[in-house]
Amino acid sequence: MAQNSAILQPGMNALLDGIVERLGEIILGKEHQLRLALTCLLARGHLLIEDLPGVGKTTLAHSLATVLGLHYQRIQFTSDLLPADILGVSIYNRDTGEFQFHPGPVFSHIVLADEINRATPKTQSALLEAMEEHQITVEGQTRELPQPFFVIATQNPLYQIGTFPLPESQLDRFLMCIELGYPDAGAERELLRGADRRTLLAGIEPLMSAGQLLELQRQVDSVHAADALLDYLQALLDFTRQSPRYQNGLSPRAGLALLHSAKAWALLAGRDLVLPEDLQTVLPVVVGHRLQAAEDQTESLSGSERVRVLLESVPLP
Amino acid sequence: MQGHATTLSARTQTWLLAAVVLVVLPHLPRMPGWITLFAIGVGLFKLLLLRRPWHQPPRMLLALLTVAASAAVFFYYSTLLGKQAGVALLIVMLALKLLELHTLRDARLVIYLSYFLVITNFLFTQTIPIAVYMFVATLVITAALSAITHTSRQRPVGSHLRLAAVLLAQALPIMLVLFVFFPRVAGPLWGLPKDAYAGMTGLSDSMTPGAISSLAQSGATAFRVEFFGPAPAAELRYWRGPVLWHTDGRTWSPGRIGSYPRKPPDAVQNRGEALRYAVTLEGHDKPWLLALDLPVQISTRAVYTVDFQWLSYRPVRERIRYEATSWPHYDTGPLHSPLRKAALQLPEGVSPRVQELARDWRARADNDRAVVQQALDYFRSQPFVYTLQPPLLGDDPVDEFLFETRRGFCEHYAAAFVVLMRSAGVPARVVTGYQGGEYNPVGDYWLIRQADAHAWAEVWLPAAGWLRVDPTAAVAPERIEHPLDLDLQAAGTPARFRLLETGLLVRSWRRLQFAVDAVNNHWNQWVLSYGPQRQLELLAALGFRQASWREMALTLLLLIGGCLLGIALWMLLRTPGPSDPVLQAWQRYCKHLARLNIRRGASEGPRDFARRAIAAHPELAAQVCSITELYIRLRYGKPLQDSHEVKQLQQLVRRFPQHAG
Repeated sequence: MAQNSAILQPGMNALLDGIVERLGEIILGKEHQLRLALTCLLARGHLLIEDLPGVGKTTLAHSLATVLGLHYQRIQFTSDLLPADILGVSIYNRDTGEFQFHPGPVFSHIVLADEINRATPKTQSALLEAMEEHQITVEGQTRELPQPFFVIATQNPLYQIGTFPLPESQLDRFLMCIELGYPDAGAERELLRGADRRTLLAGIEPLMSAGQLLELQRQVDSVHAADALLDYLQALLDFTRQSPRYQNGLSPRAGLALLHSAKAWALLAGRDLVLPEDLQTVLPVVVGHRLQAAEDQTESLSGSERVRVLLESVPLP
Repeated sequence: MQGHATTLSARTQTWLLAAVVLVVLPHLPRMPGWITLFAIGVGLFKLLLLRRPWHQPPRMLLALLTVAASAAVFFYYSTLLGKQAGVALLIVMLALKLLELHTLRDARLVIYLSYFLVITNFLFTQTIPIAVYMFVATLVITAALSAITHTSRQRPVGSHLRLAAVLLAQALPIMLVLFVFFPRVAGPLWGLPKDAYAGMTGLSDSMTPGAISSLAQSGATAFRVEFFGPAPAAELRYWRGPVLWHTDGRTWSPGRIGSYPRKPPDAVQNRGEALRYAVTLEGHDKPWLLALDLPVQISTRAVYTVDFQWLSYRPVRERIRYEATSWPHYDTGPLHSPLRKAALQLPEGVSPRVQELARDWRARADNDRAVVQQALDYFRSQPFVYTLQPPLLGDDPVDEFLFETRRGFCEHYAAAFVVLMRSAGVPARVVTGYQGGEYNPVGDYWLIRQADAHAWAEVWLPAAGWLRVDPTAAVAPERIEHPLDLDLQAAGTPARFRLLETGLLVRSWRRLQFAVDAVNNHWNQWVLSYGPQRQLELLAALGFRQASWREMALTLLLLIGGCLLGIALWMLLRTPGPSDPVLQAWQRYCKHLARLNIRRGASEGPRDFARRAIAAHPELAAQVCSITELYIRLRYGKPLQDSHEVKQLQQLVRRFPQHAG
């Protein structure tokens, strides 16, 4: 294919491409998920990973932080975790005679909230508020969180014992919900053969700074979404609201989330305009966790099937 | 009403002014000078008001002007009804209304009045140029209607005109259906104003010296003839009109006897072949239907008279078309005594000189035929001059013409000849009509003008019946072969004829004239003379035998209803195609690929589709890439100002190979 054009070929953003490549060296065979995670970050959203333990969620979060030159903290959610364990506490300093605030792990660029559905709703909501507001209020004092601020939460499959499922309104705060899944045979073989991931992680040099990331986030806003694309987006939203298949239609916030994600995906692919394909690519991960099948539907569709029906039902002129 | 609050913008008023100017313009030459001046004056004043918002004329003044103008029209025409007066009044009122454009209602009134005034053009003339002009005027009026309706946004001039054109185009099918199927009745549905037929020219039912020569100076069309077969020679192309029996010495009239009906062809015997042809006769406000000498059959309802004329039941006031059969060589058989008596009638006081001449011929001849021959020889040998502008004649025109002036047009010769024949005891009468005609090679028909009007004589001979004798032919044989040249006539001089023209320029000019007349002829035949008869013929051809009024009305209703239903269904059922040229081009491209068995999924994006297409047809990669890239840039990229890239996309799609190489 000699005459391949910029529009037909993804990956013209050299910097972002380098990052994807470097991450791909650590997390094998998951390029699409890596790109989605990066997209989520670029779109200033938070990521929910719904998967079994041991598929590489922590590695993903850690390597992402390292490559991007960001500060990283991990919080293991348990049923006895308290809000203060996340946000931080004020402790009386005997030397100065004052209360001094000790910031919690939430004060970092990337926060990995592991097994978020193991904690009580009270603790969950403390984190979720921080995600929404990008600031926390402790003891009447409001404190800004660092920029950029990115939460990667992982969630065990809901049938596991001892979980507090996140309510729909809370799920809505996550821009994307992805599944990592098992690696394929080739990737797994390489994984088994290769060096320890931790050693690899330690050797990674950051490829960009937090400032550069903020600049990229600003660039996302300037990616052009034409009227034709907005028409298509609105048709998609409208379908979820009209169809009896779904319990509730997509909210305006979901629409904005879709548009932002598509823009970020386009930027990641080195384009300054959004294609319908961008929208279609991010649709499953943005919409899947927001769209519930109606209760009276006899056929219970899984998240990806619900999205597939949606995609096939709305024609693109 | 909400409309009253609206004040019309200058732009809207300009539209109205333009419409009114277009509508009034063709009427102005027909109007008396003061109305023309008034209309132009008001128009200019309005233009001034538009350019410089000055004081609007006070209401009182306008009312006064209105009353004064109506009164002026009334006193000028002594009526407000009728074609001329009515149109004059409308023009005056429309012009004044322009000074009183305040509300939407005023504007609407101007529009509707303009529509009406456009139609009145047809009362005066029905030519193709005026029809085209009226179409343009209607377009502008409709555009003005659009301009007064769309006041909310300033739209460019072109958009109003475009909308008007679309509306007119949509009205066209209904217009055609109405034209073809609207029940046509013979004669107008309501009485046309008395002056509607003024200005129709043609032969009169009486003949005085100078009557035909004045007609012969008109270049207007009398009728057109298509022969179903070869045309007869010039000496046989005598078109029979009124036959004149009675004379008082100066004026010739038909007399009572001539109009008696008879059954065609009665005792007439054919002595040669029969000629069939179709005549399209212009309206001339008289009943006679002109036909080639000697007509024996005609396709329209008419009476056949004892002197072989076909008379319509009512005056021919609009163009009609009929087919006729004539026998150019004939024998009319015996002459009955009342007719013989009428054919020998002489006015009182035929001068002794005339009687002497006739007696002399009679004495020297042994039969009537020899008398006729001597008379023709006399005209030929004496210094007679054929002229279009003969000197005026006194109380005894025949005597004066024969012995003194000896300059005359055909009516002088025919009248003198018949008086001489009757004096010699030979039954004779004057026949008026047309002679000759001009062949139009473009339309393959003969054009007979008023200039071809002619008068000749008929004598009755025992062995042959009525025989046509043309004394003019004895004096000026060229008259029979060539039409008169109207441009070259001078008082008292011999008539000039149009002989062979050899110059290329002249010939091309003639050819152009022929072509124009041929187009006019078709227009007349198929548009203007589409009357009850033609409609019946057409309906019969469509399978409506003896269609009645009611059936026609029902057909019309069904057709229009069907049309509207069809349009409604179409609007209801059609899947609206994209109006966006970019999307149109894209969908055409998708169709091209579908023919190559690459069908785009309902929600497949352009890039995914292009990848699939390239995978299936790598040889098309270049085209697919450039089309997709351009499409994406146009549809999903930032909006562009120029349409150059849209054209490029359309071009690429057009050039896209539609069949697998």
